[in-house]
Amino acid sequence: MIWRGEGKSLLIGARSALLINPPIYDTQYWARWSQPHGLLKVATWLRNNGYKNLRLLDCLATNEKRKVNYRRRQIVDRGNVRRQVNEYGWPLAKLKLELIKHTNGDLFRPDEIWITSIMTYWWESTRDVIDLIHEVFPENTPRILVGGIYPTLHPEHAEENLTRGNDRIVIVPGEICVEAANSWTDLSLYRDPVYETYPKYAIITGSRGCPFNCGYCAQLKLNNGNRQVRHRSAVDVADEIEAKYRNHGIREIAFYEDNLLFNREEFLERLEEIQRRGLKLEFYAPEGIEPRLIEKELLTKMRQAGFQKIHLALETIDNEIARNWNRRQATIEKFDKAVEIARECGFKSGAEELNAFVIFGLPGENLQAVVNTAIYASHHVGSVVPMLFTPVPGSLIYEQHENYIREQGFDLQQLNGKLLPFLEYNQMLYPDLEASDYLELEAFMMRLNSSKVYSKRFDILGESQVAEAFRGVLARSIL
Amino acid sequence: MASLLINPDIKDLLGGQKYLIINAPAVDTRLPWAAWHHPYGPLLIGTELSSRGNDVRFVDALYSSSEGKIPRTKINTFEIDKYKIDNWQFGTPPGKIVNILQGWIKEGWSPDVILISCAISYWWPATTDLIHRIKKQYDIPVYLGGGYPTAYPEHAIANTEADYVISGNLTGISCQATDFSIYKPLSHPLISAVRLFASTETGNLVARPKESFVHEILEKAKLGVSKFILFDECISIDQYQSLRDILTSVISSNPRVLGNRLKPLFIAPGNISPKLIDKDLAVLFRDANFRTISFHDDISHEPYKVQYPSTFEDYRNSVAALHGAGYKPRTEQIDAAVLIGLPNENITDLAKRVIELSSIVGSVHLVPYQFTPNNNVGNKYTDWLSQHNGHLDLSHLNGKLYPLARLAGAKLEEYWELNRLVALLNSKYHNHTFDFSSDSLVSNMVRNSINSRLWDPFYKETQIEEVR
Repeated sequence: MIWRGEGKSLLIGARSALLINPPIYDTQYWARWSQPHGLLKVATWLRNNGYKNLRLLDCLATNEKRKVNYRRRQIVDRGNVRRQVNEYGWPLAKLKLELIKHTNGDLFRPDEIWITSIMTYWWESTRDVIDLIHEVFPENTPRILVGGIYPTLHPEHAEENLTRGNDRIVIVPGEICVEAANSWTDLSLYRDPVYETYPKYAIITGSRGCPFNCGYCAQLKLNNGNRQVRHRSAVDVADEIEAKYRNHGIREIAFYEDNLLFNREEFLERLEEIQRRGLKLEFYAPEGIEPRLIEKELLTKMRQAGFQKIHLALETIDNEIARNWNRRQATIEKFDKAVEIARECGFKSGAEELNAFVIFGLPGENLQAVVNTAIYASHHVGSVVPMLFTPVPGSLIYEQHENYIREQGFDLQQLNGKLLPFLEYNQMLYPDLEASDYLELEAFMMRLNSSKVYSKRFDILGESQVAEAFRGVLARSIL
Repeated sequence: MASLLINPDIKDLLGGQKYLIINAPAVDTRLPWAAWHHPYGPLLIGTELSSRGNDVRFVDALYSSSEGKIPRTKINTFEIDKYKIDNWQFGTPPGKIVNILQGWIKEGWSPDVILISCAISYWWPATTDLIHRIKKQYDIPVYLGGGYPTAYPEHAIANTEADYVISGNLTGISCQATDFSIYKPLSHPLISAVRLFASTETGNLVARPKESFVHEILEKAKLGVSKFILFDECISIDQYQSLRDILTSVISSNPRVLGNRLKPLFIAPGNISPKLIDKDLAVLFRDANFRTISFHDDISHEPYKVQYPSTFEDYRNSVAALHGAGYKPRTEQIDAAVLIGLPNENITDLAKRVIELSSIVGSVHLVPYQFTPNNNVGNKYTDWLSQHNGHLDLSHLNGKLYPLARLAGAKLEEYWELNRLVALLNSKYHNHTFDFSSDSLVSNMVRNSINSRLWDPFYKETQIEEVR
């Protein structure tokens, strides 16, 4: 069943729960900033509502090097390439052993099992975890609740594929309640012998919401159509950070927010509050920052507070393309200005302190514009972060191409950007386009970042004799 | 004051029965491919001494771990063209080597003679330190040989406390294979240098008997040595038939230990002439398990004159043959060496050559020219150096800092740029390098973007403004 109601109505008197972050099936996985922060907030909220026994089974918990193990799951043929889909995180067999401990008296028997399911194209592993729960708890199965981005963006899919008519499985779309959403994450759950290491970082969400509706982004649906940016108080955010610093030894903080800088004053206040406490911390915003919101005072304070890197949402240098993606607010002029300010504030280009996201793999895209954007970003920023587009239910582009997706017979796992869901669509524009061209394009962008000698990388648009010779050879080899 | 010995016969060194041979630590700005720095010459001398019934022990200060790691300590930082460059001592520190010797002497093994090899001239400070520490404690005769005293015998006499300085090669060595048993009681490496050809006194190359080569490989493979690096300077078309014979022998030897097939793997690091490989040889290389074929830069050079006897067509033919034999295009399996750092070379031409070779071969590596006096090539530059006020301190003749090119007016930055370009051209993603000159969709778009300035979102507007 899909739950729609007041947050507290989810609570039906249970006192013990397991919290599961399932493994995932994907071709690649970046585990550096991957804490299941939603689930960790739910843990705090449950504790505040009388739960006595909680245990976290984070199948994607990283090792000392902040990586997760993986095994090959299957090979997917995509056009002229074969992509290997891996199973990242704990094998289900390990999860099973942990679950069994809760049936044989070793550990508490849970009244409930809360599962977080993040990316829509990872839904299959959530299904497999639910099957495993039924296998381990064939009778008196604990009540299962599934939340996270996937059930929020496609609750009907989740109901059909996860509950399969079982009323004891509850799909929880969207945020449960403000109290849960604003809860602190409970890192103490990692003090469990099942984990190889204790987290070195924490994810903090100080605000939710964004007034824009970029075509490729589903934040509006995630925020239940609410364009307002809602933020926690600066003191509360700083308190959470300080508690993590003092009680958990955390020294790295990643802000995960829909539009980090939108509420400028609030964010400045937050930075000041953090700085006032004299904590030696490093800050990151790996989800990116809207370039047009960057200004000198703000960025200077961010640098002073301990921001190490800036990821700018460039996406494209073509303003017309940006307008077509409903990104009217983001122009190349504003991006350029942001880069200039970032440099003035001490963020070095070419040293991965400044990074630019470049999106590609969209339906009907102009591939030449993608290449142009990558070259421009590499020249101006120094570090290009290629992002393969995934059509996410709830986003404008998904809705515009829903018919195509249906006609192709794609299920959500096939919409994983790394599996190039719009390859055939774009072949209508580029008849010679192959799947390997996308890999080559991604590889080209990655290579632009990786030629450092004496802390500088090769700038193909640079002014050195070597760079000129490089361009000269390229001019000669036009076919 | 040391005595100078020029090309002495090995029997002149026979002053006892116990010999300690030390491959000295290095002093350098960097030591890439540390695992491939194999003390072939000193090992050969040790093997010869051992075969003559002597008790030989060997300490390789540049021994690297199985991951190719080698310890290093920063010595100093100096500046060239505003670049701060760190100088490191690589390998087992001299103090530790003396401790090893001390331990052996305590156990009752005391060498009658110590032979120290310093391979590269500007590595001399660590050798000086090592000899000083040994002489301070022990009255054991020390012979110093290797590239350093060969090139700069007077410097070695003046700056070390060696009793004998050997300039040139030791003659009278008949062994052709190195014997790893002299590493005992220390452990031997899992990588070995091997040579297919030996140089005669007239400078001609003579192939080793194939049985001797195969025997060496088998014996070392049984010790667990899994990689063999060809240390021949260049294998050219003249060696074609001998090379075929040796490869055929390696393949037919089908090395086995206790029924298990050994799979020794070979690497040719920049010593295969681009003129050499045809379809048959490519297949033999593959079947003999040559993992990496790296082409030699068949360059002939002297001040004001550089010639490349091998054409791009030669490279194309060899690469096509290797691809036909199953070597994967644009991977680390095929590579080309490019010599740089010569005076008066044109950096633009060099960059173009690098790009062209990268496109043809898939991967390139730069080889900085190391000036060394007292040999055929180096002698051509000795006069040029003195004309250009080039009496530089040894430490400034490190080829990795392109001293000759800088004396001729080039900037270090341009050479770093060349290195950066090579890093870009060699960078692999999904195990492949990118060919900027290919006819692929992405390559075309990259060229189009650069040539038509499509990457510049303000360019069109500027042009329109200008027209107005």
